[in-house]
Amino acid sequence: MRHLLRRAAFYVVALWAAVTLNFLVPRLSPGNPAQAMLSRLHGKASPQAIHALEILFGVNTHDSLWTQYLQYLNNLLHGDLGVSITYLPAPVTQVIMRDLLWTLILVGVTLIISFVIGTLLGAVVAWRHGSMLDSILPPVFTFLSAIPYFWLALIFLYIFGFTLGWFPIYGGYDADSTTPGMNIDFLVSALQHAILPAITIVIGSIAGWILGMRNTMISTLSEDYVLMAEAKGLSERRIMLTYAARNAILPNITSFALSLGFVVSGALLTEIVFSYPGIGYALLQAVENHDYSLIEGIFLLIVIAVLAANFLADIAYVVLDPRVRHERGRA
Amino acid sequence: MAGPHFARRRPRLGLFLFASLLVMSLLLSACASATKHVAHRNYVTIVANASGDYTQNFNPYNTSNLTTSQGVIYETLLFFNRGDESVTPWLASNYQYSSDLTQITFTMRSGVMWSDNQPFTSDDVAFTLNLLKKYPAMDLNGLWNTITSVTAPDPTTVVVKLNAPFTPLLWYLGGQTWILPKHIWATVGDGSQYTDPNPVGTGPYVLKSFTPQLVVLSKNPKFWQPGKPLVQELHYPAFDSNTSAELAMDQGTVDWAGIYTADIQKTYVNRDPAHNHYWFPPSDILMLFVNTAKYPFNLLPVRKALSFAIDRPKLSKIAESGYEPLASPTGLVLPYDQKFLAPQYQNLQFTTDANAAQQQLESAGFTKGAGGIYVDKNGKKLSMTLDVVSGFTDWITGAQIIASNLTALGIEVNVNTISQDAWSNNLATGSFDISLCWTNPGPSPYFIFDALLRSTNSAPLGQTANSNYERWSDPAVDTMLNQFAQSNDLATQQQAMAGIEQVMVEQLPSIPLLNEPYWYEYNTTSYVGWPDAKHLYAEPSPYSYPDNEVVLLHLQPAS
Repeated sequence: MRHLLRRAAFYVVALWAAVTLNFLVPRLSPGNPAQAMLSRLHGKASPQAIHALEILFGVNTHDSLWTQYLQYLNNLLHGDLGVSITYLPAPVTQVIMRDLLWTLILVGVTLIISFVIGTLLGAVVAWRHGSMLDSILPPVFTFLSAIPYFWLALIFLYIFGFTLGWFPIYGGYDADSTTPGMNIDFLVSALQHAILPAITIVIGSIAGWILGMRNTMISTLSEDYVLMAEAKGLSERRIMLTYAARNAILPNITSFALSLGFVVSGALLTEIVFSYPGIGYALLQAVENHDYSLIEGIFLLIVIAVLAANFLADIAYVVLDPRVRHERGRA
Repeated sequence: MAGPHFARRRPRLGLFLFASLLVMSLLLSACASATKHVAHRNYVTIVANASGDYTQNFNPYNTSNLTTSQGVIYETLLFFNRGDESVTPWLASNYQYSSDLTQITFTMRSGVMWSDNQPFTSDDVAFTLNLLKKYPAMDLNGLWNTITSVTAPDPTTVVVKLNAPFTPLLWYLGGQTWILPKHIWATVGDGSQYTDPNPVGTGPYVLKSFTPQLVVLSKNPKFWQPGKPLVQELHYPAFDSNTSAELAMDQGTVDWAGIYTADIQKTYVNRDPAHNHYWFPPSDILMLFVNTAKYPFNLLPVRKALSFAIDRPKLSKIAESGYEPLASPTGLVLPYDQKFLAPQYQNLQFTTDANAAQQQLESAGFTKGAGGIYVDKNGKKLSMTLDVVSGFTDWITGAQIIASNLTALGIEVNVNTISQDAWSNNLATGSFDISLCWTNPGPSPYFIFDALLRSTNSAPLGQTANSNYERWSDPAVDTMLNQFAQSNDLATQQQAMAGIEQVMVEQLPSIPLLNEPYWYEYNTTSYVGWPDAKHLYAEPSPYSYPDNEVVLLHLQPAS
């Protein structure tokens, strides 16, 4: 319990540090929102536009950075994330809510699929260490994930979406003929649109899980307790899953927790290639437009999610690994 | 140790999982719709820009990414056609300058209704313009730098008074100011901060449905042009990138687009030569901006040497897929500005001439030093950084061509590929050597030169310049610009313009490279009547406002 409390205190400090960096870093980059917007208009604005834009975005504020920082913390405590200037005057929360569900479903589901399949495959491959399967699967998946994701996704889009026409080529659902909501047409359409992006994400990320699991599992398999279990004549399934895999999975759990936290940052490249709705693209837009509030809002979300996921991983460790319980308990 | 002797008896779990994944994906894909058939539709699908999902904001005075309200929902008093530089009455049926050009009187078209059935009057126009005065953040074109008052003496008349004659104002005032309904906007307060989720306009379309991924506008039955529009609906799907927009276009699901596409003949037109078309008319001039406030770019021979060394035909052919012809050395956008082209420059063209470039450098005292690089009298190497935006693939190719041209001449060039943000910031603050950039288009050559050359649009190095990034400051040019702007007599304007052209040709304040295009692709399966080289009745790209409205009003169902 003391262990968890200490961890909790650490997370509060980490949160404050992240929030502060969050405020500072975007403001240190050159340029300002008005300038960024003007350049996005490709000259299709009068030279006077810069003045109107500066007023519009409140660029020439005379508040010191320190005052702005206190203002920012105060707003944050009141749950006010500010107004996005990319989507002016939409509040940041509205922009995030617009995209969050898409991201959670696509990236969350693919992460779980990738983790479960990858870890299982890793365990099996390690179990059959040296077999045909072991000599084929890891290299094949390593090869696939070594392909730059952007390229892989484009190739999939081109072949399966464009040339073969099996999948829709853009968007999160067929906006021309369905209406978002809990209706069958929309859900089926959304599923169809998610398959291709999901497959590319899984292919791009699965090798990490396979290799991570395989390598730890191989060293676990040489442990005495596995030999002991074999000697006792336990079933293979039981040895593989409860003896070897349970111990080997710990590092993968840590990475899984981290990845789970980063789910809310979206999948920028996927979103770009498939024009799929999500947080990643909103973040890119925010950065390009010097949209401080939106950058801060999205990063805050990521920070909270990562910290929360890590906290969960801490708890999972305590549950899964008796050594953590005992060592920390003594300290 | 836990060897394969156990495993051999196990089912091949891995292979099984992998196989089932494949089967599952195949099954799921089978229920996905097959290739879309291009059929006659009662709507037009438009891709004006690829900048992600929308928020429900139709405010035409807002720079948010949803720009579907300008032109098609909110209209202007006049329509300026860049093709012939003509002016067509629109919401105003007529306009009249006072003899000293300091007063413009607009007469309103009668019978125009707002889409909520209220009549449109001069009161709406006066309200809109005064709203821009009250909230300067809405006054994107700086109208109130020139305007002193706007009044509506009767329901069909609006009188705009100016502090001095300034004829280019007519474009910003008549052609780029979106008229708002007073009965709705009078209560919203600061119009720049209003989202306008359910717009009420005078234009041919009204909002039908909104989702972040698709905006649908439908025909406004109360539109003032009888029988128009013939296109029932407009669909604006959201795209994150040109790549996916391009595939949708190639697939035939997009009717009208304005995106850059490499090798368009092969990737687009050849897929359906009968229906897929493109046309890339010039919009403005792609310039090599040279920082004339810095040594050695303040030396005319250096600028001349740069201009002579650049292989523009190669730039056009390789970097821009041959879409864009070479720019005129005068900086005019031809053929639009033909009537302003001075007689002595009728046939003037840029030539690539490495010898002339060398002579220029040597005349300025540069000599070849170590490694074939020119050095000045103090032994300082002639070295420069060329800024270009990462992601603008055509410009990057262009920058590499320019760099190799200059290196061959004996100049050291670093191509500096940076984010659009850093690039525009460098230009504005003058922390660059040479940089690629577009210029400001408009319905007469005044707009490019005012932005490019007027000293008040410049600023000292380190401070933000509005648009005169190369920091040219010449009282004579300012005078000629004023002479043009204070007159509506063609001969006077031609004379002023000829003087500016001479400065462009002889002084090279900025180095014109190629015409900068409007991107414009269209499909004629469902609708015909699109603008083309022979029918330039409006700027053709879907991101030109209010030209977009004029194009849509010209469309008819394909027979």
